[in-house]
Amino acid sequence: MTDKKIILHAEHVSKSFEINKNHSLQVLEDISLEVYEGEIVAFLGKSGTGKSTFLRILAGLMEASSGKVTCNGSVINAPSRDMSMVFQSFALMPWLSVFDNVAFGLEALNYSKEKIKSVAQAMIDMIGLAGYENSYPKELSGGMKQRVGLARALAVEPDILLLDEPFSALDIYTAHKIKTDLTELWESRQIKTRSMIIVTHNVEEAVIMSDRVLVWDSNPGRIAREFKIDIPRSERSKRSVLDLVEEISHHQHEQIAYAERKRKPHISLKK
Amino acid sequence: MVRKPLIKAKPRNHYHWRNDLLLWVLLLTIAVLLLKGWHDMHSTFSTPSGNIEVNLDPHLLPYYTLRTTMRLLLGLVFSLLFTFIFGVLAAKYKAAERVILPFVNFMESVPLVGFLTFTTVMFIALFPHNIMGLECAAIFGVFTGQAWNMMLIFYQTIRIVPNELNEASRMFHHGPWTRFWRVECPYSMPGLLWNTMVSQSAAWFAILATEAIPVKTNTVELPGVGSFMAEALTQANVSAVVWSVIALIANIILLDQLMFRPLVRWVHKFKYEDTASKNQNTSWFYSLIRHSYSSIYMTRGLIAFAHFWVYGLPRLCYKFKLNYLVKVSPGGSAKVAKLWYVAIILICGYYGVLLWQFLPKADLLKMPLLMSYTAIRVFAAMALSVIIFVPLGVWIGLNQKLVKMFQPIIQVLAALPANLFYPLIAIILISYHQSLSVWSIFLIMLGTQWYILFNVIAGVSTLPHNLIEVSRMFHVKGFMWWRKFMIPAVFPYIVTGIISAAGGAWNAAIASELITWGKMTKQAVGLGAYISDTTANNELAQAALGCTVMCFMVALCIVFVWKPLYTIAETKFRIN
Repeated sequence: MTDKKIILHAEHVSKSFEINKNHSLQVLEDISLEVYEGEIVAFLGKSGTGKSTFLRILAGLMEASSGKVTCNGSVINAPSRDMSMVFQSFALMPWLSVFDNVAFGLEALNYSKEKIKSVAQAMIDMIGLAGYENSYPKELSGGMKQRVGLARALAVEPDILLLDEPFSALDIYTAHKIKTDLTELWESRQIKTRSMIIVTHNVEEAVIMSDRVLVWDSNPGRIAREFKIDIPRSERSKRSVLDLVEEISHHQHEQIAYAERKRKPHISLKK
Repeated sequence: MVRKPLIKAKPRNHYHWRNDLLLWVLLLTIAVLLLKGWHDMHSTFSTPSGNIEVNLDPHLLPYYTLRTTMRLLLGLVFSLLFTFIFGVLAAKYKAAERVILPFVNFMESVPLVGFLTFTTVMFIALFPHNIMGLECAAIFGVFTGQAWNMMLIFYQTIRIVPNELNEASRMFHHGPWTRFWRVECPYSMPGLLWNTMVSQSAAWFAILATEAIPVKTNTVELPGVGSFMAEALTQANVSAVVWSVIALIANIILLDQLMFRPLVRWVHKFKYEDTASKNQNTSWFYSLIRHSYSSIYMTRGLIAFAHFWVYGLPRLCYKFKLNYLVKVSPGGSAKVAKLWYVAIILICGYYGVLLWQFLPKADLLKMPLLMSYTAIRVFAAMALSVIIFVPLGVWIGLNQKLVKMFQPIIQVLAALPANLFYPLIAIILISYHQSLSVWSIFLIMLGTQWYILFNVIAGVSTLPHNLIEVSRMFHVKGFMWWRKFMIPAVFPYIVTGIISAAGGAWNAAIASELITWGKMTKQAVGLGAYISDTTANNELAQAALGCTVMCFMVALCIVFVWKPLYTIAETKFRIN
């Protein structure tokens, strides 16, 4: 990995939210991360560990309280053209058809009408949405909606794809199918995207999809441990990753038990 | 009215006896004032001069505002009663719904300013020797300003109570009564309160207009801000006009601080969706109550009462077998329903024929032209409000800090009735010799703009955050941002705003086509001027014709413009 190019680099990122004049809540504390070209990184952790917040800081959607993020050498302080994102709740525009939703990002790039049309159509075919171009999101199943979300994100050909719990709202069978499709597209280099960051709380999903699993801990949010997944992708299956899944799960259970034991009153986000 | 939820005792140090002192001083003052107002409402006409006259002395204004407030509050009470009774009837009985809904939908958009003359005459006839007739007319005005709107929202929210909540309540064997008070009513509280607040301007509008009518017809005058303002206008007294405006604004702010703001803060807990309370509403009066020792006892009393109301009352009914009285089979039998429809049609037909015989047919041909003038003004005002206030609302709504800053200001501004500004504009128009035909568009806008602004702000701030992130993530900007993202996103809210503004807009169109300043009047050509003219000359048949035509126009507008727009907004642009 050492000779690989770093495309995304976060240095000492912290984030705190102000609750009122005297109190603030530290959500992220001093997080550094390097994402190399050609790898998939998984953020794993229970809810409230700040994974999604960190992802939004990487994306440029949120500003860090301190620290900086660089992508392909340039500092991120607004959403970058090199990145794209897939949302847990799909975030499709209900008033746009599937085609228009996929073309949403392309149109902002000032492409010609023909180019938008061909690129969007190609992406729709690739993701398996052919025939649904004129449907509206509310007519689709959850799985199809997330395919639209993926197509929209991939259509702008980002270097890095950020996935914020993309499969949490889907049933496991649908989720499995989309995961396999996405990894295949990525491995066979049919898409230009080289790296991905996926936020999840599903251990197996993290292990099967990624090259590195970063386990998060809370109060304040930080990366507690890193697991390298050395099993070749072609050999990964439910059975072959079982030991690793067990190990990571065990680590997580311990972490949660520890947190329960030493739980002390702290300011929580909910009023 | 609503069950007070259990309030957990906070740590003692939050309480302070100073809060109690202030609270009781305030409560006692309010009680004394209300009693005084209540007492004076029942006085008779027979003063030494034979008439009660409105005196243009600014020192009397606080008293006049008290009287007006009294009417406003009573109107609110009646509106709430109507809301609860008819909202529930419409939500639970199909046969009732089929009649109530179209009626209320229609009433919501009909400009009642046109009818005020008739209602005033009717109420005076009901109480010949008592000021109560005029009081009733004013209270009725307030009622018509807000009741329809409130009932509709109540009906709608009861119908969309999440199924899970209903199922949960059924699993715990709640009867219909208990379920209503524990599930349906709390669920619909935020919407109802919000709508009540938005309807305040309509209520004020109506009360100012009704109080002014007796002044114009020179019969008995009802002491109040509205009659004070009308008197000031006919006497062309600038300082009195300004004083009445100030008194009105002060009154609106006072009501907002002491009634609506605490209620908004309290109702917050009934909100179903957990939008992590981005902008916590604060109210000093609410905090004052919560941090007083008295509140502990008051809460206890309220909880005991609520418990009896929700659980004890049904038990009592069962005990005395009273439940058979209210046990109407849900939906009613088909025969009863048919009979009910036939009766309604017969009654409508009968009065329709009577009305037709009463109307002067000679003026009928003039109507289309007058109708189109007024309609053009209304549509122009709406279009202008949309063009100006949608961008403003989006700008405010996207920034939580701005929402927090502007929300209270806009709430007060929106409660100011449009006719409050008429005197000021009348002065300007008459001194600069401007044409009322054009300027009345802006007078109509004064009423409609707030609905649009309110709704757009609400729409933008409830927009799923993800969608905003998507548009940022994909660098969507400028014209495309408006066309593909923001306008579709707020479209349902714009439509709701326009539809709720419609009633007020027609009202304003009617009222703004004739403006009086001393001996001078300014008039625009239109249906409103026709109605005002004929009522002033006591040509009741002509006035009735004007009103009927207006109703007809409003009905056309509902069927061919608002309904289709609403359907599009609901089906295509709804974010779920």
